[in-house]
Amino acid sequence: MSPMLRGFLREVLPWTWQLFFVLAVFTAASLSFDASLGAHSLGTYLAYLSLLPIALLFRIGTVLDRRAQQGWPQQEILRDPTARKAPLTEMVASGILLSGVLLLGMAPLATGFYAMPDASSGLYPVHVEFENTADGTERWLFDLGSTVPTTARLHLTLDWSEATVSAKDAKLQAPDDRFVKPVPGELVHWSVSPNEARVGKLVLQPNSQSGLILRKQLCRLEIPRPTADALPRLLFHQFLFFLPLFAILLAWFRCGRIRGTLSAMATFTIASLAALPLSPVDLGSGPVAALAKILVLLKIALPPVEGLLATGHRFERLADTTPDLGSLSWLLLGTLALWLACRRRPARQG
Amino acid sequence: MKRKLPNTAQILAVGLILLGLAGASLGTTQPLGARSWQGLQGWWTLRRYHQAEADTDLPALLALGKEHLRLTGQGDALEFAVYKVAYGASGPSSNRLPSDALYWAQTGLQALDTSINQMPDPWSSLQIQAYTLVERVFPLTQSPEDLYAGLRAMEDRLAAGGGLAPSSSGLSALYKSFLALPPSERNPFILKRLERNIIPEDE
Repeated sequence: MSPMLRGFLREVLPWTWQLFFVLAVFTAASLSFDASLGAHSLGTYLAYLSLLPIALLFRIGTVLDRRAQQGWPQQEILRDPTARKAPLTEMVASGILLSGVLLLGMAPLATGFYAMPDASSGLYPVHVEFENTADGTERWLFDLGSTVPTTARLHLTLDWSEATVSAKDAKLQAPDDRFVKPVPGELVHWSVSPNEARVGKLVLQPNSQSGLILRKQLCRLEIPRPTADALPRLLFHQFLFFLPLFAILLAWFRCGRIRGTLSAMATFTIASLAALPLSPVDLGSGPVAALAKILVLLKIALPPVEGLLATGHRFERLADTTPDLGSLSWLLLGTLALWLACRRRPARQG
Repeated sequence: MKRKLPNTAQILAVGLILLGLAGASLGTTQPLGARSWQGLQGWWTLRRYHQAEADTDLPALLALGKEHLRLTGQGDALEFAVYKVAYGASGPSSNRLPSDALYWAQTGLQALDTSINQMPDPWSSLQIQAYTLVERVFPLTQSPEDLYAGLRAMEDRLAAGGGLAPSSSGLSALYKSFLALPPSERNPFILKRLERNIIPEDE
């Protein structure tokens, strides 16, 4: 390991910070998995863990600040005319620290101190709209709110008390000719197709003039929660989410020539935008709504990587929804930021 | 390196932060890490909920149950709070005045009714609603119309929803025989079933 890399690692994470990270991980595990005290939720644990890379981001920002005050940028240019060595080392160190922190996140479970909660499912209310066509056929439009995993299932509650169609003939059909036969007194289960999961919307059509009534209040979307063996994959997704952010931090610091902590804040804002799950909410009008609309536009301009940071009590809704192309473009954005950080800039005069 | 304020990147960074704040104030966005904070709030709300239960602070129990549902998406706390308030606090063992008991029963039912859209598993709470209507509200109000209207909503939901998960197949058969009856005999049929099968012993 080169002395520069070792020095940076030691400066970012001295033993006090290392101790803090270990304590933080075990506190997070207690709050999440403890038999009597915990929330019994893997999503909550992932949410607590996601604080650590953020702390790391700000910590690196502080170290960059300190190094700038000590005159490191000038020395870099004097020693290395290409000025690539320092940013590349910092990037490699960030990657090492990030993977170390996330591997530490597996320790409470791997050591057997804590056990994962039993696998369960998340159930969500669904927004339904009814549409009547001129020939008397009814269509039920379901809005699932966002992209959902392909393992999702829809549970529908039908009221048969005014049904004119017999239980034998009753049928619910999707536009792609898939159908399900409902049974009186039982929930109707509808497995979401990959296309419906990607779009987050689906349409069902009952028999014409069937008289079946859909109970809107009781419609639920069921998404199975990832089990214990999914933890390494979910942590790897967090790694993919945070890694380009460190490159963006370096690019802000070097190209923007701003303080390290301010660079960290700007990076944090970009990360917040990238992690924002968009929901079809009418923002209304007014100056604040206008700002929020700009925010949504900026979010759309970024790759759709919110699924990589699947945390919180509804994490199963976001987990594994990121398309490969989205992850690749997010990494590409990081590479671009790293290239910008490595470009040699002439020293500012004055 | 001498630093001059402000330059383009600084304005951009500050602007982005302001935008983030604007979005957060609308409630449509949350900054990175906010879910951890939400998780901690949910955990703390549950602690306060248990304290309220120990103190038998009924309004706080309902309010914290709702808060817990909002923060964590889990309806168990609210369901138990409704059971304590609507069914427990209005029962004969609580030794309350009839008007007081009716107030708590209706308050609990109202809390459940306003939250049923957010409850992740709405079917399991319907049973509490049915118990409370039949055993607590009806003996105090003696109004069969109210009871029938309430039960009508209950049986719609409970039977149409396939009932509680373990009894689904039985309820499916029940619902089919319910549908086979003429409309005038449907409510007495459900009442009879409730009396025979579902209503438990008084606490």
